[in-house]
Amino acid sequence: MIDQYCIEAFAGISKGRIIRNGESLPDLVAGSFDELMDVAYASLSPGYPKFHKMDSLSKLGFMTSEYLFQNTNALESIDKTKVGLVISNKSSSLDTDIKFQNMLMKGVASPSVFVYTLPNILIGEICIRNKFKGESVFFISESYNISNQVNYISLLLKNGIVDACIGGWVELMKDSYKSFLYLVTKCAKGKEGDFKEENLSNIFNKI
Amino acid sequence: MQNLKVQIVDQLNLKDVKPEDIGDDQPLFVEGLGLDSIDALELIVLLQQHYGIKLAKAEDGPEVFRSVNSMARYITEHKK
Repeated sequence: MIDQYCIEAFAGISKGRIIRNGESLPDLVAGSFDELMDVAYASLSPGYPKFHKMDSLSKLGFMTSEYLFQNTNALESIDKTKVGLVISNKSSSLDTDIKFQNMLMKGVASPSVFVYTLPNILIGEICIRNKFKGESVFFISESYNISNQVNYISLLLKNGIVDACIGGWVELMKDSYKSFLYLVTKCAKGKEGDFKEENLSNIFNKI
Repeated sequence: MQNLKVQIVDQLNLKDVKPEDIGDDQPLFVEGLGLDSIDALELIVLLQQHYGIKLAKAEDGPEVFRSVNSMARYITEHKK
């Protein structure tokens, strides 16, 4: 029998609002990105002061993952070494790279800014927080190639490299941002697989 | 001393910590404020930026950055 894979949960942040499993969270609306992150953090109260030190891209990915995991127990029975992450975006860490470059031109090199001059640091932040130790990769592409991502994650799942995977798109550049993360695992018995490009595309376009 | 605490909170972006909450002899790392290795580097930058002090020997770091008191003492002794 061929395994079926299901989207267990998803979350997204865009245009001053947070969406979880298709619902816009009404109390979590803000004007600026920084305000939204503050409101989102205060609402969850995760007791994770390291969040305040993250760059904007990591904050966006981290906070999206917090809402993604908030109402699901799909990962409870899964070995943390078998949880993977496959995330992509367009601008890599350019937003922070530019900030760091501007600091250098002023003669100041902040180590805490420098450590975020790679996009996959946001994957690291999510892994540290949740103790995930599975396969992870960050792809840079002009636009969100959902088809490639579905194929890549399907291969990881089918080959037993991971038992669950967080996939998605976390893009941020200056004042423009959009995140979408989903959790995919083997479907519960009797449930038909919905981990398909068309479904992800529909969800992504509504965020 | 209060000024140094404000600078530490600003430099390390400690949003959940108020300067007055930091004890003069409270350990800054691990069991105290819970700072990490990147924070240690930021404290070195703080010394350079605000006081023109370059930490000459890396092995002095643990003693210099043990607490606000030890930092203040080092600044007083080395300020240009």
